Amino acid sequence: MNTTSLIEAVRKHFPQAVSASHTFRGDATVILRPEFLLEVARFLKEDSGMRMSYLMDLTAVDYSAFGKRPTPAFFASSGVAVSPSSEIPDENPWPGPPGEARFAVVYHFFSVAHKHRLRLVIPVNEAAPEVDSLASLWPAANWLEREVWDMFGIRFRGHPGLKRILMYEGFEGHPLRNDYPVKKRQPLIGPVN
Amino acid sequence: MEYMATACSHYDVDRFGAGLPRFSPRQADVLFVVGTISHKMAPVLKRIYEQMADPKWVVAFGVCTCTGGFYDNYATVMGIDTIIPVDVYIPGCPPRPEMVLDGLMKLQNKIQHQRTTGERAAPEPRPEILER
Repeated sequence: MNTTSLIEAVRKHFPQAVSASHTFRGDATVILRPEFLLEVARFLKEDSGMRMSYLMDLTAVDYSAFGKRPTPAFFASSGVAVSPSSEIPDENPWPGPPGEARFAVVYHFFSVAHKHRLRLVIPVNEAAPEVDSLASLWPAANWLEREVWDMFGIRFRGHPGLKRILMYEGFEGHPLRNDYPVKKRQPLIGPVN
Repeated sequence: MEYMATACSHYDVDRFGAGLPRFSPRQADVLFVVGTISHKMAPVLKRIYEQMADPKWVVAFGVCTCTGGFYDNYATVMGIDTIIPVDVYIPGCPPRPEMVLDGLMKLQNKIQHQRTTGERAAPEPRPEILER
């Protein structure tokens, strides 16, 4: 299935779940409402036309500094929130961060049988950062969700043991959030520097 | 990986007597700390160092173990000499095998000096530019 038919299939089965969708250069993205995540994920895994057996990645994005950081003087094309030049034709521009939610949890699915991919985006509010866990469907989600909890502080309902995976247990804070200062060290032993 | 390059036949660390890496600290004389040490790993490193029997020496291999390298962030120990005493520093990212062999020869000279004079040189203090 190509990207448009993937998105159409998801929209047909869950018309009230999809809040937006987008394709860019062969990548299909669907933005879902958080309460429908488990149903849509189960459909993606079990439907014979989808057969998304491989959860490739589960990560999160913090949009609190989106568009606010100045572009660096060097490597201007790699700065934060740099829009491409207007001379490049872009019939399908990126719509921007999904809504006003601070975080977005991003899932990348791949089907080994049909060789197609889909990206799901779930906007997550800062006030109640909770999403359903996919660990019951894909075992890989176990550690990926632990990493998202460790780095962003987003909890996963139904996860069999949500604890830190990259940082040690006593670490305070969630390092990949934009308000955590990068150089703030919390050493277990030894001096701070 | 850089240690493997040095240990294999092109650069052959075995001719310096260092051909047998042992993965138990109890049987080892020299501890090569290769690669970045995170704050999660730091107590483990200290424990391994304490498990080694005297006389023991430590080589900081790679710039991440010397000073933290280019990782100035929440996760990296900025130089393992904040935790354990280091005898030889081999900088580089990664160090060329020739640099590793040069460091090994410096360690051999240092050990030779220890045997003939009977004293162990104190680890050098960190230069002030690194104190923050």
